Order: sequence, then C-alpha cells, then structure tokens
Amino acid sequence: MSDILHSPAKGDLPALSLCDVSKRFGETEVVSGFSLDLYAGEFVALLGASGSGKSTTLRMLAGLERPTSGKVMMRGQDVTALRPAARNIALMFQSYALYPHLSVRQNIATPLRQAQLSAAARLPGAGLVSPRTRATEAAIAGRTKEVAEMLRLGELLDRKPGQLSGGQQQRVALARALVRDPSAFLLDEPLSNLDTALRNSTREEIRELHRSTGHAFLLVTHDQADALSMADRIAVMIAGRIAQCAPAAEIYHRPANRDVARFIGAHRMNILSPGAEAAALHPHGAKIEIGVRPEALRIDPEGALTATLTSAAFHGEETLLHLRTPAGTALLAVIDGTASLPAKGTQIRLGAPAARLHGFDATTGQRVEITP
Amino acid sequence: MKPSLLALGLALAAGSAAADTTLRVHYAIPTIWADTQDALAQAFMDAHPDITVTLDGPAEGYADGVQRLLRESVAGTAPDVAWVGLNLWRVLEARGLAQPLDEFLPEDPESVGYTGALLSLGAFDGHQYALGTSASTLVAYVNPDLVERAGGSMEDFPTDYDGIIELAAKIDALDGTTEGVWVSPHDWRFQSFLGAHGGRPLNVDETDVTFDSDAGVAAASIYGRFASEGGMSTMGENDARQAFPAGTLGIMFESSSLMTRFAEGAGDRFDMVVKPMPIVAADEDVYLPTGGSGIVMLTDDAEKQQAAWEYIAFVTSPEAQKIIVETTGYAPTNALVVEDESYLGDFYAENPNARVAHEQVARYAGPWYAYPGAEGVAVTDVIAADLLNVVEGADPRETVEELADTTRGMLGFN
Amino acid sequence: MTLRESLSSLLLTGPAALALVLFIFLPVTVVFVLAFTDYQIGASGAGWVGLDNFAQLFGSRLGRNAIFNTLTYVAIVIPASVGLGLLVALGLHGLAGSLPRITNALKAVYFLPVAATLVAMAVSWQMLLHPSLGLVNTWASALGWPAPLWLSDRDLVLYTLAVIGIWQTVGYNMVLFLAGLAAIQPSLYDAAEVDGATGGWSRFWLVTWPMLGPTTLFVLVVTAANAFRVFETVATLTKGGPAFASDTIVYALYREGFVYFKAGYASAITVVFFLALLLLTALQVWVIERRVHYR
Repeated sequence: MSDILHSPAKGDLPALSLCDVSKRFGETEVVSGFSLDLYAGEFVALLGASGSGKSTTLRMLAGLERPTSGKVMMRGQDVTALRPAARNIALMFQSYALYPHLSVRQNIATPLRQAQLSAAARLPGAGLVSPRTRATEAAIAGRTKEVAEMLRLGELLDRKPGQLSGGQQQRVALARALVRDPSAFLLDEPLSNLDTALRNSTREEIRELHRSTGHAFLLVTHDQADALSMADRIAVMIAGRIAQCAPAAEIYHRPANRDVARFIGAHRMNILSPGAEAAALHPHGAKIEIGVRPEALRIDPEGALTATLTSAAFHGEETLLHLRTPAGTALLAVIDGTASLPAKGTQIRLGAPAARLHGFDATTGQRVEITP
Repeated sequence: MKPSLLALGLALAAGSAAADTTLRVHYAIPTIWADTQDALAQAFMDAHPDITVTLDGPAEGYADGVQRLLRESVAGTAPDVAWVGLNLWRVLEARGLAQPLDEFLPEDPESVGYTGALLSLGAFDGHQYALGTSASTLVAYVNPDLVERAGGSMEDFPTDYDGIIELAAKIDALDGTTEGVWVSPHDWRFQSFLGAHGGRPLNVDETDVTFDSDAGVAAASIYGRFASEGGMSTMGENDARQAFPAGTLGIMFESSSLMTRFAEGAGDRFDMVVKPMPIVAADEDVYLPTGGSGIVMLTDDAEKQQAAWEYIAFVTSPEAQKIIVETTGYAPTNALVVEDESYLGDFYAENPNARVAHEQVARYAGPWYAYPGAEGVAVTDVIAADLLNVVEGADPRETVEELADTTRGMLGFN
Repeated sequence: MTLRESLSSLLLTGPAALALVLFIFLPVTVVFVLAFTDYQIGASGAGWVGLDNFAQLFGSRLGRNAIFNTLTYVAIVIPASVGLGLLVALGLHGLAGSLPRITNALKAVYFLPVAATLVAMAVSWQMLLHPSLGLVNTWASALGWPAPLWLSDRDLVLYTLAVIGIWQTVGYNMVLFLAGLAAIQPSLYDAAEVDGATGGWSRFWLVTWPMLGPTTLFVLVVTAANAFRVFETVATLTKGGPAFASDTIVYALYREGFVYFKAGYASAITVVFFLALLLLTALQVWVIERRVHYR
C-alpha cells in the first residue's frame, strides 16, 4: 500500500468493484444486477436487513462465492475467477472463525504461513533443516507481533481463543485479517456479538484502524447505527439490489425511494397515501405519497393533519405517540419527553416543516423532489 | 408282540411309582430334537398317565446345555433328567450330579437290548451313569460321480486306507476345484482312527495316556498321508461341510449324524453313498468312539428317581428308539430295534446308507473317551492342534509322542 | 440440605444404586476372588491358588499366543478402521452437496454391517470365503490369482478376521465422523480459504483434522474397546482355530470358562483384560483429552 487515500480520487481505479453481478441459488435470485465501486482509503457500509443478499455480496467480493453473472474487478483487472487468497482480500467473520486449536500467535500468523511457506516448510521443526525457512519464520513472527501490538494483543499471544473474551477474540480476528496488508478489508457484522458498551468503543477502534491503515474498508451490517456512524458511504441493499448508495446524511435526508426511507431512521417513516390527508400536508399530496419521519412530526394547533391518539409510550428522552387519522392511517410521532401528554382518545393536530417532507411516486415508490 | 408287552410291563412298573409325578426334562439342539422330544414325551405320558413330563426350553448345543445344567445345579434348580452329549456326561459325573443307574438296571440288560457295547457308552469305574439314546460313529461319505470320473467304481470301493488314499489322489487331480478326501483334525475323529487300529486313548484305570502306541502313530499317519498323498487341504470343518454336498469333495470322513443333512444338501446333484470305516485291527480289539446323546438322571429324590427311571427306560426301549431313528437319523442304542426287522425293516429298505452306519454302531460302538480332570476338555484342543501339524507335514510319530507327553503333563499323569 | 431432602434423594437413587451393587459390583467382586482359585463351574469347592492363574496366562504358550494374537488384531483394526471411517466420511460429506441420494444410499451400505446381526453376517462371510466354492476365490481363480484358505490357513486367518473386523466398524466410525464433520462451522473453512489454505490437504490440516479432535478421541476409544473385545467373529467363523491361530483373549476367556469349565482361570483372564482395558482407556483419555478440547 503505497498511496494512502481517504477519499476517492477522480480517475483512480477502484480497489474493488462489482459490475452488474447477479447470483442465483437454484430458482431464487439472491443478488441481482449489483454494481458497487470501492476505492482505496474509502469506508463503505453495505446495509440491509437479513436476507437482503448482503452476505452473498460480501462472499462474492471475497471470492468465496462465484457470481452467476457479472464481474468482480480489482484495480481494473478481472478477478472473478480468482480464489480469495489470490485476491489478497482480508475478511473478518461475524463469528470471528478463529482456529480454536491454535494460539493467538498462530491464528494471526496463519495467512502469512500459508502464503509464504510450502506445505513441507509448515511442518513442525522444518526451520531446523532449512535456513531459508528459518528466515521466513522469523519475518512472520516479527510481523505477527507488530500487528498484535497494534491491536493490544501483545500479552495474549500464547493463549487459545477459548481463553479470550468476546472483545479480545474480535481483535484477534481483526489482527488475522490485517496481518498480510490486504488490498481491501471486508468486515462481516463485526460488532454483532459485542455488548452495547463494547460496541461504541469498537466502532471508534475500527474507524481508527481505517484511518491508520488507509485500506479500502467494506462493512456489512444490518444495524444502521453501525453504518451511519462508521461509513463514508452507505449502500442500502433491499431484496438483492442496491436501493441507494450515498453518504450517510444523504441517505437519511434524501432517501431515493420509499423502501430506503422506511428502512433508514430510528423509527419507521410515516407514509400517507395520495389523498386529502397527504394533500393537507403538501399540495402534491393529492397525487403522490407523502412521507414524514416521526421525529419531524410535532403537535401544532395550527397543523394541517388531524389524528386521534391511540396510545403513548414514554421513553425518557422522548415519547412515542401512536395516532390514527380519520382515514384510518396509523401514524407515529416522536416528541420531546418533557412535553405534556394529551389524554388518550383526544384529537390532536399535527404539523411538519415543509423541508422535512418526502414525496414518493405512488406506483414506483421512487423519490419525487417536492422540497423547494 | 414283544414290544407292546414290554410297554405293558413298563406301564405296570410305573403303577408302583408315586402317583402324579412331574418330571422336568432337559435337552439340547432343538433344530434336530424338538419334534422328536415332543413325540417321545407324548408317547411316554400316554403309557404312564400318572407321570407328567415337562420339557425345559432346549439349549442351543450340548456344550451350552451342560453349562446350563451346571449353573442350575449350583442354584438348586436342575431338572430331573437330562439328555446330554455322550462326551459330556462325565462332566456331570465328575461333579457328583449324575446319579448311578446300577440299581435300576434289569438283572439281564441284554434281554431288553442293552448290549455290553452300548452300556459302555455311559459306564465309568464300574458304574452306569448314562444310557445312550442316540448314536453316531465316523463313516465315509462318498460322491460316486467323482469316484467314477476318477476311474474308480463303487462296486469295488477300497476297503483299506491305502486304497482310499490312492483313489483320493486321483479325484484330487481331476480339476482345480475337486478335492479327494477330507477329515477334520479333531479328537473324536482321531480316536476313531485309533480304535480302528485297535488302540485306546487311555489305559483301563485312566491313569495314563496310551495313544502313543503304534496304533496311535498309524492313526496320525492317516492324517499325514491324506494330506501328502491324497492332497487333503487344511480347509475348516464348515468349509468341508459345504464342499461335500456341493459335489467338489470326493470322500469325507464325518459323523453318521450328518447323513440326512448331506443327503438333502446333495439333492439331485449326486446320490451320496455311505461306506463303513476301514477296520485295520482284529474285530475284538476294535472300538469306534460313539457320539450322539445319552440320558442321565439328576434328581436325588427317591420317588422322583423311580419316575425318572421309567422315562429313561422308555426312551431307550425299542419303541422310542424307532421314533428317534426315524425322526433324527441317528443310530439306535438298543440292540433289539436293529435285530428285529419288525421295528425298522421298512426304514432300512428305504435308507441303505443308514443301515451301513447303524450296523457299524451295533458292531463297534465304544465310549467316546473323555480325558479326566480339570484339563480334560482343554486336552482335546491341543490334540486337534497337533493333528493339524501332522496334516501340514510334521512327523506323525514324533508329534504323537510329544503330544502324549504334553497330555500327561496337563492331566497330571507324571 | 434438610433430612427430608436427603431421604427423598436416597429414595430416588437407592433402587438404582442397589441394583448396581447387586448386579455389577457384586459379580465383579466374585470374579476378582475367583481369579485366585482353581474353581470349576459346577464344582462344590475350590482351592486358593494365589497368582497361579495369572502366571499361567502370561507364562503358558496358549496364554501368550492369545495375547499376541489380540495385539496383532488390534494393531491392524484400530488404525485401519479409524482411517477408513474418516476417509469414507470425508468422501460422503463432500459428495452430500452434489449427489444427496447416492450419498444416502452409500451411507446405508456402509452402515449395514453395523446394524446387521453378526451371526447372519458370519454365515455370509463363510460362504464368500469358502476355499473352492466362495465368491472371493472363484473370482481369484478366474483372474489367475492364488486361492488362499482365508479362514483355515493359520498364517492368514488373523488377517482375514481383522479385515472382517474393519468391515464391521468402518460404518460406525463413518457415522461418528460424519456427525463430527457436520458440526464444524462452515465459516472456519471460509477463513481457511481466505487465509490461503486452498488445497484440500492444507484445509484438512488447518481445519478438518483439528476440529475432529474430540470425535477422533471418541472413535479411537470405542474402536479400541471393540477391537480388544473381538469375540463373535472368532466364535462363529474359526473357533479360535486352526490350531489356536485365531485364539484371542476374549475367546480364550470363553473357551477356558465355558468350554473347559475352568472358571478360576477364566476369571483371572477377565481381571487382566478388565484392568488392561481400563488402563488403556484412561491413558487414551488422559493423553489425548488435553490435546483435543483446546482449553
């Protein structure tokens, strides 16, 4: 890795890209027409619900799965037929997939030993016979120690994975992935096995690792908090396709379609079907769907929308209001936890700033620009 | 009407026994004996309405049966009467379980068909402990087709071992699959050859081994010559018992009890012929160890003993022997049934092979010597192992002499 | 724990414990005592002979022959049956994805010898291995090969029995290994692939073999215990013959005890055999346990 870039540079070839890739398992198409470029120094998150095909996409990038059609490219070269090791892509597994019979030191060294030592030279005691093997072994040991130190594993090198905590295991998995200086680094749900406290610190750690190594990172996750907090760009994957690929803020504020809009955000976006109620919020509402995030709705005596409060749930910081419009649409509103609550069954009026309304084509679900 | 008179006499004798006695009877090898035992028990109870016979669940084989009897006797649940292998009743006698029958035997045993030869099957040390109920001796089974293909004929089938070996060699040379002659390296077969040469395995008071005589060497030499001159292979007993009915083995020395099985096995392939053992010594010196079954009395209850004797007398009587011969193929152990054509005349007319075997029993039957003491059974395996050595080329005289020494050591005769 | 609880616990475990004492510990104790006597089955008394029975087992030609035969048999059967079981399991595991039906049929075929009754199988083997009529030698002759006496050549019989022993146990070991293989996390193979262990051999050494450690230990212990206990094939096919060439420890035990009625000596063999097997199993578990569970 000679050039360390933190943002994609124009004219540079992507470190890794998928070109119109599809994957079928029998009758079902899991990934369809998927294209994505990952540049050196970039941190992209592949975000999707379980079953959206994101793991299959990751496996195709790594070389563990062959696409049914389409190509996998690295720096402009077709690597579709290459096996994972030949692609020099690091992959950190959700389950960490550490070798339980090997020590931390041996786990981390495995990729180097497999790449640099022949089968015969990997036998115990081979270093006693061949000086060259001995030299290679020494280099591997040095690099292993270096990576281990970087991930604060120096003290644990002789332990077996079974003797480590979840967080330590995760760092060993990271170390094993990083040890051979990969051209891209794929992380499969790296935080899903950690508790909340550890998650936040680990997010920071991974970002720091990204900054210091400058590798292209691809994070696969179902957790939008992970994606939003770590990635430069987020590719939202729905039903085997990329629904939108953009920086986090854009995904949140300008979702490309109804599906992305409803998938992203702490609470599900309210969608009003074309009609009088939607039109009350926005003039285009007569013809298109109008979406408004629960956190954008507020109680407003002047508000255009009328709804009956069906239940309210106090969550400390905020309170969730479940409402129903006269037309029967269920709405969710999030208001400040300190606000006084109206009684259940009362009718309240709601309003939302025009800038926070989203328009979607009623048939295709595509975004229609309605904000001035 | 001698038989029915005898039955009447027995029935009258039974009248003196206590009324309504139940006898528990043990037997083994249900594959051969189950139907026969049911028929015998029924016939006995018809003649003795006051005695009920119940048959214990049969043991798989004679050895299993004796083990069970020993266990039952330890537990105090032994049956009253038991059918045991003729080579195994001594195990029961040695442990004091078999009751002597001397006081029950008639004054003149010969008159009811118990000849001296037949009584010898169950006698030891001057006492009668068992009576033979079915008998078999070693006979030669011959495949006449192979004999004729080899240029021999059944009319002048050899009557000495030289002739048999010569013929066997010719059959062996017919093609790759045929074999001339086969006999199992086994204690009982060896005793048969020994007896045919006039030898005995033990002296009269059973204090020394005597098979290292010239007769013993000659008997062992038959094994050696069968192999070296007759081309006998070392295949196992099971293999040989498949090969003969399949028609690939010319002459097989085996127990006469296998007659029915071999005849059925051979089926339409060939008409098996049974030939007697070639006898070498003078008739009075010859004995052929007799296999088959004997019956022993186990109960020591005086009243039960009387009923048990009625049963024993019945199953060794000509009527019962007729049933046994006709249903099992074994030779009878009552001389009257063989002498008196009225019992089995029709049977022998249809089964000439059986007559050959049964005449041999009647003429030469003798005890199947059991070696005494704790190592008695173990010795037979050692003998079998050494016979195999002879088959594989060891010198018969040296082997027999060494074997005799080993045997003396094991039996404590030194 | 209160008295009441103790009592009810005792009530629950009592019958089983009593049965264990009555039907296991007591007979075992009796056997241990008999081993030092010259007791014969059915005899009314027995004499104390000290260690004579043990001296006879290790000192006599027959005793040593049985021990040597058993060790030879075990030395062939354990590695071959474990190795072949693993090989077949690997093959079937690999095949399962592409040809599930054929794989299942093959599994059944391999498992058949385990499920089949041994005596029936023994009859089949006898027919197959018959020197002149058996299928094996018929084919051998047709191909111009020698037709050996599989079960009655004293130099061959032990190896024939060993082959049958292997045939009997491969299916069982295969099933155990298949279960072991199915339990290996697929992500470990992915990790190996990513780490550059691309060949079948390096995948095997990096993942499969170490992950099968606990299974292999279990298979080894079970196979060893079964191999040392070889009896049924000997009893049905050769009766220890010809001339004791296939006499094994457990067959000798049976022979001495139930054919020769020498209960004392048979008990001594039982004791030696029991202790040897106990020692072996303990050794296997102690030595290998620490190396397969990765703690």
